[in-house]
Amino acid sequence: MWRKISLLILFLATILLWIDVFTYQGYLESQVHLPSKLILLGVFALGALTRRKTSSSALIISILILALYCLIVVIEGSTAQGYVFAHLRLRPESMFVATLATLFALATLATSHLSNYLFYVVISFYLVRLMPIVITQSSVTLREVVRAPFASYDQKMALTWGDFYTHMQEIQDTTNEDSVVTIPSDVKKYPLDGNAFLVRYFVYPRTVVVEDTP
Amino acid sequence: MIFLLGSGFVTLSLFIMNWLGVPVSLLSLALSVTIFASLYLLYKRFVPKDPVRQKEAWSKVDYFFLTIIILLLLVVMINGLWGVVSTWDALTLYDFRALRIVETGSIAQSAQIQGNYFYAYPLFTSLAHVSLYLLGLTSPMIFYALLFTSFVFAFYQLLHRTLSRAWALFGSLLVIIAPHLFWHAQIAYTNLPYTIYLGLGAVYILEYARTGNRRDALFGAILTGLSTWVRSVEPFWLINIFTLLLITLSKQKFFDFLLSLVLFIPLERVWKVYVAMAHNVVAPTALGQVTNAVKTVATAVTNTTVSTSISKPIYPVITYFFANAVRPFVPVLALFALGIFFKVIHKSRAWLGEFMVFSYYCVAFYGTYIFSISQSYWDDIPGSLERMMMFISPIIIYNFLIYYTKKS
Repeated sequence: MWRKISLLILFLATILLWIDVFTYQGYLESQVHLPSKLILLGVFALGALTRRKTSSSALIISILILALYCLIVVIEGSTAQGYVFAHLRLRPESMFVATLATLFALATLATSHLSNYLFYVVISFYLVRLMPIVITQSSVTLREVVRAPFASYDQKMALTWGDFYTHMQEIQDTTNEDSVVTIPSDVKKYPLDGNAFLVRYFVYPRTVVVEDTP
Repeated sequence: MIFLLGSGFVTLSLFIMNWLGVPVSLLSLALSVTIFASLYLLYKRFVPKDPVRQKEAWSKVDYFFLTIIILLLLVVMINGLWGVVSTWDALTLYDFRALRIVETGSIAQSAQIQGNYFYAYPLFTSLAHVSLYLLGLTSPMIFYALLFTSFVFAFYQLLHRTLSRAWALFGSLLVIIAPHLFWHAQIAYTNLPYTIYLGLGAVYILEYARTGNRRDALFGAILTGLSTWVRSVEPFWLINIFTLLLITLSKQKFFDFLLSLVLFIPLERVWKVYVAMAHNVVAPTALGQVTNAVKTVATAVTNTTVSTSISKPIYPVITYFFANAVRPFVPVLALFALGIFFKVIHKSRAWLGEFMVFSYYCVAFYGTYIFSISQSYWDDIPGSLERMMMFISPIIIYNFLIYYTKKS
């Protein structure tokens, strides 16, 4: 009986954590005066006590939830901030804790052994924390390639370094190879133009000289 | 594995040949590749093969993990083919050196052009860029993609020695998404090759502890040696070699250790001797570097004028270290902590992997502390410490999975 009650509490707590996702980050804390991370810790602890193998499909559901979470984070990362909220009324920034809690709760249904439960929990944390980063990086890379698949070296460098690269190209185009290029000494004020090593890469074989600037 | 060893060997032989007066050119590159290929064929001819595993049927889970791995590696490959060298250190040092070496055909001349900064890191990545430029490629980024793919494949093979295909694929996936590795496969920094060589070297040494196979000890020593050919300042290789010594002592196979040292020492020495000769000084020994570091701390602690200034940094150093060497790796360290928990519960006596990881952290903290008392700008580049610790992920993942799958 107590196990059923614990499971009920566990799933209620998980649902509670989703409130932040549909409202705003911190809403739950303002209402119940408990930080989300503390509730997550409670879900984890309760899960460790109430674990039991009831459903083999819990693992598949977990993978689907993880995939959905990654998808939402990637959409948010590769569009303007607030895009997901504007279209789906979800707050991606609050989803980390809620998704983790859901995966923890599902882990209680996937295994009866404590060691396996702990393994699921740690792997869930690992994947929820790192998978979106890798997928977002992939989408950023692919987006750049798709935008300009046949871009020249200059175009690719201009994408990374912007006006600084254009400026360096101007120097190359308008000066002789034996010219002396003077750059400002204040690296804090001019982090790019004031960096002798960086400028030299672009203007070589021209000599780079650092000159005191007022 | 051939690509990992081959790129280390080819760049090293390009370097040594140039040191002996042979210009860096397509011809010297072809010669280096030929020597490596001959050595590899000799190895294949005379060293017995590993026992062939029984064929396993591919399950749906295998296909699932394999699909994700292939998709992620495909992204890395696409970037390797499309991308250009565009990150800060890669431009100012690694690629600048490569371009000058291609132009002049001489490492010494390009060192003169660049000045002292040239000697900051060994030439591994620069000479890899040189090789690709000599072959007519306009961007060397594919090298990092191939290096990463080879690493994932080698890691998979190491896991698959003992684990099922599904677990080995799962472990490989965990490594791909481990902090920073995926991103570093798309930029031209030295941290990824360093992670690959040092991390795989440690994994081979752990395999040696498990199997007692001399070949694992030798591969561990060679890969650890190659890590010093990528980055020579960090002394993490000491842990690998010390662990190897402990294993050979416990197994009473001291000859394996001597043989490993014979392969390791030239790799570790070559760059340090070159830099020392360029500056007309004597190359510091490994032991000398350690005692110097101890002296720095001892002097700072005993010197009253300095001690007041260094009594402050210890707390900032701890917070800085925690923020940059611990926090970014929390997902991996959670696996590490879980592994320790299981081993305590099961009263395991196999603590070698944990010993290594703990030692790496001690060395890293000690190094950070020395840096903080000797350099005023010690906390200016927090990302550097974070990147430096990337190599712990494959070691922790390997160590955890081998133990967990055995017990579960």
